[in-house]
Amino acid sequence: MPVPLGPPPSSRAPTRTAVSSVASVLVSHQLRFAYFALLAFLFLAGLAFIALGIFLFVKSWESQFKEALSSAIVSLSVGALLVLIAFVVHSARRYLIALKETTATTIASEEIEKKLAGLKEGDFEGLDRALLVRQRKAELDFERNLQSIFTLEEFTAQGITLFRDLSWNLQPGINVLLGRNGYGKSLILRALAGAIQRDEESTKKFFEGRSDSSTAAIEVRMKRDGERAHARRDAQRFSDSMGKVPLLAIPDSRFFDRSQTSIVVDEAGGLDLPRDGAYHFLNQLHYGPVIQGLLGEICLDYMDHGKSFNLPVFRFLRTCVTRLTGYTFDFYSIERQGRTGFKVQVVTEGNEGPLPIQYASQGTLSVIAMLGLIRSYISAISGQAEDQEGVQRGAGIVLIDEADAHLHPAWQQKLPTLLRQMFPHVQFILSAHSPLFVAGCWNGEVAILRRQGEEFGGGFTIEQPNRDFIGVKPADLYEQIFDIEELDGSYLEYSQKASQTSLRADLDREVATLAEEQKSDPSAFAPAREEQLSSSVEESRRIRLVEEVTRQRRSEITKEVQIAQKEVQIAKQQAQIAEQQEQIAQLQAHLSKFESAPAIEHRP
Amino acid sequence: MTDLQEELIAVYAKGSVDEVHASPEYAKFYDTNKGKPGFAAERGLVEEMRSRVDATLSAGQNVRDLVATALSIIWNLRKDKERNVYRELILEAMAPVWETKQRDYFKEKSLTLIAAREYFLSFTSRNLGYPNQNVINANHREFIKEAIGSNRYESADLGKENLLAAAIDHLLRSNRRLDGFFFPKHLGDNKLVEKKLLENCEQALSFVQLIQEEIFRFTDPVRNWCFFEFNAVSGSNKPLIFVQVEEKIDGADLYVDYGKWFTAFSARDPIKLVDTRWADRKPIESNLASIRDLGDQILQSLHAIYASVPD
Repeated sequence: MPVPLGPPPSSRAPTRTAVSSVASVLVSHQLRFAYFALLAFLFLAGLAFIALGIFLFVKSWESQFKEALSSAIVSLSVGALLVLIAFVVHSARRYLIALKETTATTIASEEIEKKLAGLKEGDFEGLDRALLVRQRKAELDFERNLQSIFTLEEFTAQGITLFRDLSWNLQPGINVLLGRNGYGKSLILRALAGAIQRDEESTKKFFEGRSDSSTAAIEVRMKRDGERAHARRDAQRFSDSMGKVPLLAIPDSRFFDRSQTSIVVDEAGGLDLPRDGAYHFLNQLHYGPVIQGLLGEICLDYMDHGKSFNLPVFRFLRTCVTRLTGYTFDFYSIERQGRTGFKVQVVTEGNEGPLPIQYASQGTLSVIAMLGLIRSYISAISGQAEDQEGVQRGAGIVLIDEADAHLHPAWQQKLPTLLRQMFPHVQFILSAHSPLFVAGCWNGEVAILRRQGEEFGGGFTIEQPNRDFIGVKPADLYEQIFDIEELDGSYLEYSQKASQTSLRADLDREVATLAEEQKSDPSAFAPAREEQLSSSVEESRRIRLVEEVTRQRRSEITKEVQIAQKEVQIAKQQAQIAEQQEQIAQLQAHLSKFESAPAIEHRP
Repeated sequence: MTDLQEELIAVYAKGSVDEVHASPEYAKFYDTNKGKPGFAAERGLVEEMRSRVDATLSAGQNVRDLVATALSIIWNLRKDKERNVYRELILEAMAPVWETKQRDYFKEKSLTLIAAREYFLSFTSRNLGYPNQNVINANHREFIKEAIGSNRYESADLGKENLLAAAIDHLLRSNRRLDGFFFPKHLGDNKLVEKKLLENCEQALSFVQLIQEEIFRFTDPVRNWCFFEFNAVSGSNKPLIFVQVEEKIDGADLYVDYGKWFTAFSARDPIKLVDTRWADRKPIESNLASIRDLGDQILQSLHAIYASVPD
């Protein structure tokens, strides 16, 4: 039985009315420049006519030229009319904006309240009607939000499970949340996604079992079409009128059933990404069907466009995977398999021949899934053309949990830059384990989850290093971000053995004895003795190797100490210079006193 | 410090790494402990720190320079557990032959350095006059953008944040690799905030305060955290560095309780940052140079510790 891709069909969008279509064109954020240009034209043309009318009027007054008087009156009237039209259009737009806002908030809210107040006990039909109205309001809010451009600015959580006081400042481009396992990265992303998607169920869990629930809240501050807005949820309910904000949220587990030989197309039409892009993440559902759906859409596109691989989607995926992995990647063939299936073959990762897409590495599949879904979502939400330029113009919010999962370290290092280049107007909220992921990030883009001491109430908090991560070496990143600089276990084990002079002497003796024994009569040298000799020689080799490494480390330590000694010399010299400068200043003060003193008169 | 670490320090304090390896005492200790969990890692750590002590000793410096070098090494080690082990080894292996005053100096200053950060940045985000845009953010707009980027500036809440403080902290961290305490938001319980501020004021090697007229005004019932922070350090011998971020500070609305604070500011020659409302390179460069100067002054507090070892 196929897994349903989205929520129940009852949440689908209602048909838009003609009035709301006109209203949305007039108040459209994208068309605001055209609107202001029209308004300016009307206003300036009106002023020009009025000026002309005044000029003609003065002229006719001075010269008693009666004919000019009628022209002056016409000009003045046309001018006044144009200014009036500009005023009316502007007022209409403002009215429509207000109407659009209130349609989704006041009217529907009043309707719900009226219906709920009028309900009698056991009036289930009435309750259903009220809930339908509430659903309609949510739909209207979402319809409005689909037309808007959002930028998240800050996520705060107070008194919720695991987090006491937490604040995360978000940037318009890339935002990376790092943290160890179990610190709650996914939980924070789910709280953020739940808050902006206005998801009652997933956000309710954060307040369960909290004794201090009166102050507990999660809040997201954002900009909607340049205006400040916020989504807030406390223990009881959402206390704002934002509505559901469009979001694509990709969970950490990006697998699909690789035992299947074909990509099955969902006949129900697949997932509506703008509407349900965060549904699987919020409800922690298996993501395989979504990836299958994406691949199915790609197959259908291929069939619908004369079986061409020169479509924007193929070019896009080819460019992205090749740029990230350094390998050539391409779609090789797509063939129908049964009624609803496709067999997709790709050329990837240096394999000589094509292979079914299911056999590509998990890393490659993960990259295809992430980038393909983002592209599909951004195209759908922004209404831009599906070509490369159209996708690059599209804006939206995309959240990816454990974006570095399954990726080679070199790919981890490149992914944020690739996302930035391919989707320059998309705001990304990413979580990751690997510090390599932040290489190349700018100030404010990196947040690290840290455990705070019990004296500050325990729990976890977010630290945002106020610095750039440009040109930083991987070793430094590991040390600075995750505090990892431990020596490896093999080094510790063998340096320990190397420190034992008696053990080393015993080992050397054993090797010498066994070697002598083997040399004197090779044929009588038992296989077990041979194995013992081989093992001891290897052990001895490893100890010597570690001794060499230790010598190298000591030489580095000596250099560090020499630097420290130089630093001390500099500090001493600086202190001497400061002392001398002070003496000079004192002498100069003394000298100036001497120079300003009155000259001594010498009397004979 | 664990028992095992203390025992290892006692063993490694007896001589150089090679001497320790050759000693029967080490062989015995090794046989007794080699099976213990964590022994390999602890031994590796103590031995590595002992190698540093050996390298420190091999330079043949006089005691005063030895103490200063040991303090500098403690500062440059990145992890507290390494710093503590190195400190203990110095105290066990070298300090017994030093003069008492040198030993005491090392004991005190090494603890200071282990807990310290280079600076504490004190500033206000209070903004009563212009609710939509803090005048500090407007006056220093181009300098802030130069330091932390246009994106950050455009997306910030310009009424509530002091981005100039963020810019200064960022420049000190990114360009000078200094580590300071910068607390942009006071979230949660005031008692906890107080505790955190006091601890960090005490631990910082220098105290940097951004001076604007606003901080000297009467603000009740809003807490004046700048005054609180100044009071926390004013009795100590910590270097106080004032950065004047407005052209004129004359204390026109000076609150009566802040007289001592204002006098402390007036008596010094502060670092001055000029307005950068427009993208004119000259004032921006001038401010960048001022921040470099600030970095030097902060480092001087560290250098003063090395240069003041008693004879």
